[in-house]
Amino acid sequence: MVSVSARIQNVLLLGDDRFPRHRKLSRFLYEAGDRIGVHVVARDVSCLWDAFETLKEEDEEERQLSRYALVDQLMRMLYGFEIDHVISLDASSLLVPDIFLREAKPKWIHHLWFHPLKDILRFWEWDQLQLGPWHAPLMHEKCRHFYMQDTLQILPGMTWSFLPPGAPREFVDLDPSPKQIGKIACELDPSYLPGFDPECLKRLQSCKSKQEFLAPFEKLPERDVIPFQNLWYLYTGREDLDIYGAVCGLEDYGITARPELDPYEKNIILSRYRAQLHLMSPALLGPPYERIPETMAMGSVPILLSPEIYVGPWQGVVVVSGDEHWETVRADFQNHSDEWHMLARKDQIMVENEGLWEHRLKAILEEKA
Amino acid sequence: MKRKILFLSNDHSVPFAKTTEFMASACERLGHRTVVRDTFPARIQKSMLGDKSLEKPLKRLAIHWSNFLEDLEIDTVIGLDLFWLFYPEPFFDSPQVKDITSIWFDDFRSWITYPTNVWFSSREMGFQSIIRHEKVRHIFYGESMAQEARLFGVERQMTSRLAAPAEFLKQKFPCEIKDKAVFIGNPGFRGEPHKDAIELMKSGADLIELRRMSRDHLLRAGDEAIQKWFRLEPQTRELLAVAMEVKATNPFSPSLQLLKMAGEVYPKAFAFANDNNILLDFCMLVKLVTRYDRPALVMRLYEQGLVDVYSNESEWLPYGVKAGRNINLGELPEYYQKYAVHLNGANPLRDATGNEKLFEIAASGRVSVNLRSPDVISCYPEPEIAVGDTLEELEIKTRALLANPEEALANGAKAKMRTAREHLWDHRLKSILQ
Repeated sequence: MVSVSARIQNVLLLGDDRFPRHRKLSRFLYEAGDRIGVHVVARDVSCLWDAFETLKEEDEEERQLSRYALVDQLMRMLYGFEIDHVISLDASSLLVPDIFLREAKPKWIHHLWFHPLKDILRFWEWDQLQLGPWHAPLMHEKCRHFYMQDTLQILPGMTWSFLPPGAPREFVDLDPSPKQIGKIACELDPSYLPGFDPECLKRLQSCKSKQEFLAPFEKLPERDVIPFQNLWYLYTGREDLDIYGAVCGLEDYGITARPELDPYEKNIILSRYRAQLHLMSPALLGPPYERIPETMAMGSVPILLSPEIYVGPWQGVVVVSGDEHWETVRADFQNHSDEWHMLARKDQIMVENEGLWEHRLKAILEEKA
Repeated sequence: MKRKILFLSNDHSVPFAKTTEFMASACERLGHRTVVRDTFPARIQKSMLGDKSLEKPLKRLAIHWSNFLEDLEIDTVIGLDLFWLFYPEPFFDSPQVKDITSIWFDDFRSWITYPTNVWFSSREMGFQSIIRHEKVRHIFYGESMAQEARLFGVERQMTSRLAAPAEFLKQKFPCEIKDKAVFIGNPGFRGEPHKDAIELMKSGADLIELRRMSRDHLLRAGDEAIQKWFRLEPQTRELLAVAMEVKATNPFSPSLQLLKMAGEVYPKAFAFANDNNILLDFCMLVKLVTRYDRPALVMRLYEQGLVDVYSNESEWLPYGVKAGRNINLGELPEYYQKYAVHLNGANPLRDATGNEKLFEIAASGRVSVNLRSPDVISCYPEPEIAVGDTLEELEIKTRALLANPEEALANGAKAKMRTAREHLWDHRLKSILQ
């Protein structure tokens, strides 16, 4: 149990529920707050965006009236809940005119970044909705910025801190039974893999190394190469993997996938594996970072694919650096299951002691100006 | 069974937002997983756009909520009043959502006439089938509200008292004022008081006289709409007169029940009200017979220097009461504990007297002085609270408590213990979710 202070602090957490990560994180931070005596009021800004979008064709007076009502609503929240801190996922607070900056409360606005700002502004159709300047509100002295992965674009003039993602406590208690499945679990996201191409299949069957397989793509941008790299690792490791998720064309590559995991049972099933392979996300140019502590919290060892990624404080992560290493990792996994089991247990204890979302929330709220 | 619950709030009203958060915390303590979301922007969109095409935004809303429900595995939706109603299809269509619960604070009539709810009037196509959907349950805190809902054909309903947040039990502030009681709140019904009512209150009249004065005024003057009803169906005046007279002597009986009783004598008038969809308007008129109960108690004790009043300064001015500033919700526990004795009065429009304040004052370890209604005495016995039937009796009880503040505090402490055992949101939600 960690505690921030004897006094209850009130946090308004703003996220855009259209991002699955925001949906989940708002839930996790809400729970984490409860455990450390911080009241987290979590709200969605996509409904504000939706209101602006719907009303953009209305006349100016109507639009101003509705904006006034929405701002008025947030002002009531700020004072009614005596909000001390705003946590804004990917700058969600930008969608609201500068009330958080103008008012004496809250004292701090903590921006947690998961996506590049330019992607966020495009997603919100910022220019089209004429939402005004965004730079100054992010540079305001009340603002702090935390990035969750090293591939995010850092804006000049802003002070950033690295904040590794956390795990929800419930993941620690998912399944206390010993890990019994002698394979590595891998959950697929269709956007991480290329579609089926017979030419690609021929190359998979004939190429001797990853470098050889990826050679035709070397002039493509990195995010376009990543799906082929993922495919290579899946293909070469298919005998040792339990792959979950229906991805079109995967069978044609000779890779057998099990059906997509039921969301109700997903984490329980994954937690029965000693290790989980995380493919690279083309959008993030890295693995889905939040899955690292979550995997560890489940008592599984996370296996990541790129040696260049920044894994933050995580020591118990296995990072595959190439073909040979991939083979070694798989062989080691099969031959030394007890050691992998020990490593997984160590990972789990580390997350429980210092890698849960309540630890992260505490770090955010106690960060000095 | 542990549930995954989505609470839908209306953040434009801080009391609603706060209560929603308190309920969500209670569910967390019961082991359920909860998330809270606001529906006000969606409602404002719809009220601003009126009849214009909503196809595009509704499609967006459907996708958004379907993803949300699926991703967070929501199986239960709870909204105060009908705050889930901005667009119910995703909740109805989702196979995993099994239960949609409305916990009512307002009455049907007030909800439907609320500015951002008028777009969803009771006459709109589909309203009845939505509120009667097989997944939907309605929880009311008073029998009167439940009866009014039955007018709309709401069958899946239950009554459950309001409650106090467990968070109030932990708050500790000193009791600084023991020689004066306090009333925190507005005068109740927000209409200008009649000058005869003020005169009567000043002359020391008791509740029965004030209620009869209110009845006579409503029947004699009324507004244009009421006079029109009287012209169209003269029996309506008799129907209301009888129901209002019974209300004056039985102030805690549901108004609709009284109208039904009177309707047996004046069936034409009752049928007229029913056929013209004005039965709830008639209910409101009957309820207004007791509109002076709350301000009369406050004014009587204020004039004798026995009570401090806070909140809604301008609304108290016509009563000659100089109220202190508004108390923010966050300050309530402090102000509840600052005084040893509280006055409490229900809002006449709810027609139910076990209001939130009854439980919150008790959770703060203080004693409240109330009218002796069945709702109130079924929650706390004397001396945990003080009750009376007349202004005179309530004044005597208040004076006795102020004369013996240590006893008042001891009674308040007992009320707090009972609240912790029986009257928290945790208790209510446990039984609602069973």
